[in-house]
Amino acid sequence: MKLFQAIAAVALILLAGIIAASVPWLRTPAAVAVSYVSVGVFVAGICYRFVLWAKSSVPFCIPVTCGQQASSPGLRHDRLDNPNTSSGAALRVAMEVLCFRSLWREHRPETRNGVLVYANDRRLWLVSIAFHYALLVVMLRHLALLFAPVPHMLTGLGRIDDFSLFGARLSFSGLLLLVSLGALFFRRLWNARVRFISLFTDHFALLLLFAVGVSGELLHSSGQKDLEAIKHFAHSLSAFHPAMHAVIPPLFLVHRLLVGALLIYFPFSKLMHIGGIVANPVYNLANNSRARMHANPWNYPVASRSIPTGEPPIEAGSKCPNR
Amino acid sequence: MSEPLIQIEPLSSPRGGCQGKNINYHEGTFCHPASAADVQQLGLPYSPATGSPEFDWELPPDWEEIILRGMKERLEKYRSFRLFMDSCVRCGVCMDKCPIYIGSSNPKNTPVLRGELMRAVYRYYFAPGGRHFPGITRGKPLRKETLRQWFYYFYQCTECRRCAVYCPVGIDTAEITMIGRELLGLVGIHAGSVMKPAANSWRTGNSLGKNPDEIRQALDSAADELEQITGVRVEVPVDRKGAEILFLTPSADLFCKPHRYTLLGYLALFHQIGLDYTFSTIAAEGSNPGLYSSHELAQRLGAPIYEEARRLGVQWILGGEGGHMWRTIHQYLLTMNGPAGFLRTPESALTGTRFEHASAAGALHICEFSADLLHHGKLPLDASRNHRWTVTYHDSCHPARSMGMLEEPRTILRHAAERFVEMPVNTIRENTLCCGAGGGLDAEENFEYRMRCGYPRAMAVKTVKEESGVNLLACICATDKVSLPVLLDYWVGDVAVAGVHELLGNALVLRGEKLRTTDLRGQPLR
Repeated sequence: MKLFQAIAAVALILLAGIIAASVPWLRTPAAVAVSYVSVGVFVAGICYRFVLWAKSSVPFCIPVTCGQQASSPGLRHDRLDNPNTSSGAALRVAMEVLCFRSLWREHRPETRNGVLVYANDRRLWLVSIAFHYALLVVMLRHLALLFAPVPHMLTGLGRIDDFSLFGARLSFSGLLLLVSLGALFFRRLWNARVRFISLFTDHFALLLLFAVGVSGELLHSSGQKDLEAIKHFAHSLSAFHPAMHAVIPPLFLVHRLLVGALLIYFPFSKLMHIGGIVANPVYNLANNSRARMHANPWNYPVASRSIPTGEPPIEAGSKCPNR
Repeated sequence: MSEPLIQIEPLSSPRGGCQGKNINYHEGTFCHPASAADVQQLGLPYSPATGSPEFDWELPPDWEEIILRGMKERLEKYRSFRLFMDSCVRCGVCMDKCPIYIGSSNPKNTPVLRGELMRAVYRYYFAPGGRHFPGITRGKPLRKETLRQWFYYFYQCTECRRCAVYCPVGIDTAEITMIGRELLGLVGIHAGSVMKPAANSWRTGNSLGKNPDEIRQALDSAADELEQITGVRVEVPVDRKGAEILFLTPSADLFCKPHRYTLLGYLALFHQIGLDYTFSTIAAEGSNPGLYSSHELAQRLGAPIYEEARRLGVQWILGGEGGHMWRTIHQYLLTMNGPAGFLRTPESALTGTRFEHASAAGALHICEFSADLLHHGKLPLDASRNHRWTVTYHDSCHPARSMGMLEEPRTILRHAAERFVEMPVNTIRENTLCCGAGGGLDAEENFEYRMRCGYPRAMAVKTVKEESGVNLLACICATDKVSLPVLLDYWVGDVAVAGVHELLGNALVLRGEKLRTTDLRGQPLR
């Protein structure tokens, strides 16, 4: 049910793109409008989210420690998984963001011959890291649409990333993106547990990204003339002088509309999970709560059993002081 | 040992969707509501409950408003809470990391869906478009049934933080559980197994509700026992002003078994090194049951520690073997009840080590202290007195995942025991599995829950019992020492449970001691 709703939602966006693309006079204005609106919503939405997170306070020092603490000089401190300095904590966050450190620990408990055993299972780590890095390369390559002339770094990246197959120009990053998305989607449907917990948004995000990826890769493999036209159009957008009469390929509008939907959806969905990592006190605080006082900004006095100071020690037989 | 009665289902494939309504409220798996007397002693709101297992609370008329206001307030006060509401990707990694899921196969009893109980309400009331497009955001309005599910599932989370180790976006579901329990508390819904020790702590300063007389007697009789075993009369200072160190330990160490053998170990150690310390009858509890209910209650119940340290004029605090006790001391005490400028950096007089990592809180774990003594070779040991034990070590959740105290207890065990064996790698250190009774779930009515939640731990013990002949599980948590003997009896059999300092006390050769014929348990040595 949730899956069909998600398929229907993505199909609807796709259909809107195809309809708009098939009307020549609508094509360019629609691309201009979608581009500005979606990027605007994306930037505003992300700022909104970050402001909300930043406004929330961090009252307690609650890192989850995954290694030996820094205590006696005789014991080897695990600086990576249990940092006790801010720079160490920053490194830990970087390890999470760049290497998916926590996911590397993934394993699955199974009963084999009546014994509960734990088998390492790094498939999800592999697929996730493939997906995110493929997405990064794809996004970096899109930067070429913002700059004229295109920086050497990006053209270099393109030369490594591109290859041709039966005359079609394809990119490793785009294909990896699609394969890893497919694997993630397959896992979500195949693994009964994951299927059980999935909501509309989980299917929708994957399908939408997949549609974006397919349309993008098709666009990428289209002719040089089309790509030049898109590049000119994109440069006009980024210079805030939209070329309203530019001739752009229909497929571009489909892709642009799907990306627009993704950008608008992004800030208000689980796709903002990056914040869970970088702003998360579980990772980004140093485990030094006994060495340095972590102040609670909203601390308020609480009722407590008060023990009068300067009183002689309580003698045996006396009652406990009550409040 | 009789055959276990509980059937552990294989981790099977759940059917249907997670937002279905049917929940099998099943007696034996959850905690009962608190008694009015306990809650009112603490001055907290109380709503009486009727009907079991599907409790029906007589809530205040504006209960929805209270909960939503409480949620809004906490979203602003706890970045963790807001982030964890926003960033779950439902990847499912946490599910089979949760010991109660491994032991119950109930997909709703997992971190992701426990959090989802809260997230659905969050999305409905606090996320953009939540109320207008519940079909897309999957938000759910607050109902009385929501509260029932919250009570049912938030008091089935032991707050062990195991899921947080694996979550790729770092969601610590214990944080959601804690706030869920706080919100329930605002409308007067509490669990008995939490409120009883909390009310005791509030009244007497310790969770067992013992008065100063009983504490003195317990310590005196412990000294007698130790004298019988070792022939050495140790002095146990209580409420002594001007001592260098306040010794703080879970009150269970004084009154329960096998905790008490650990107490004998402490007393022997302190005597041997001539420690200038004192017990207190007012701050006679290291564990803070307040944290199982709300941050505010934790702050209230934790206050006597520093107050008493100041009153007695001690220079630093030494803490005994406690699990949640060390979560509160390490991560909350200084923030909640500090600053503690009147204390100084803990320092070991014998080795000269200054424990800089505890400088501001002025509180040192006894394992940190003892491991340092052993590292410097300051303790004469005769490990053969632990000859009958093949020991394995259960990392108690919070010292492992909230402190990272992994090597200290192992150092002690390697010195004090003749044979020390590790359990499988995915069940120790930061991967350690809950005993099944943490987070205030050490109740009587939830026996089946505790056996199920502790099942993965028990299976790891069974593995090393069969492979290496392990017959003793050492740990450093008072809750462990209550729950693990029952658990291991149920699933494994013939494996005892001991505190790390019981083994150290056995091995420690006291000055002027007689030839020992028994260990600290009174069992013959040979």
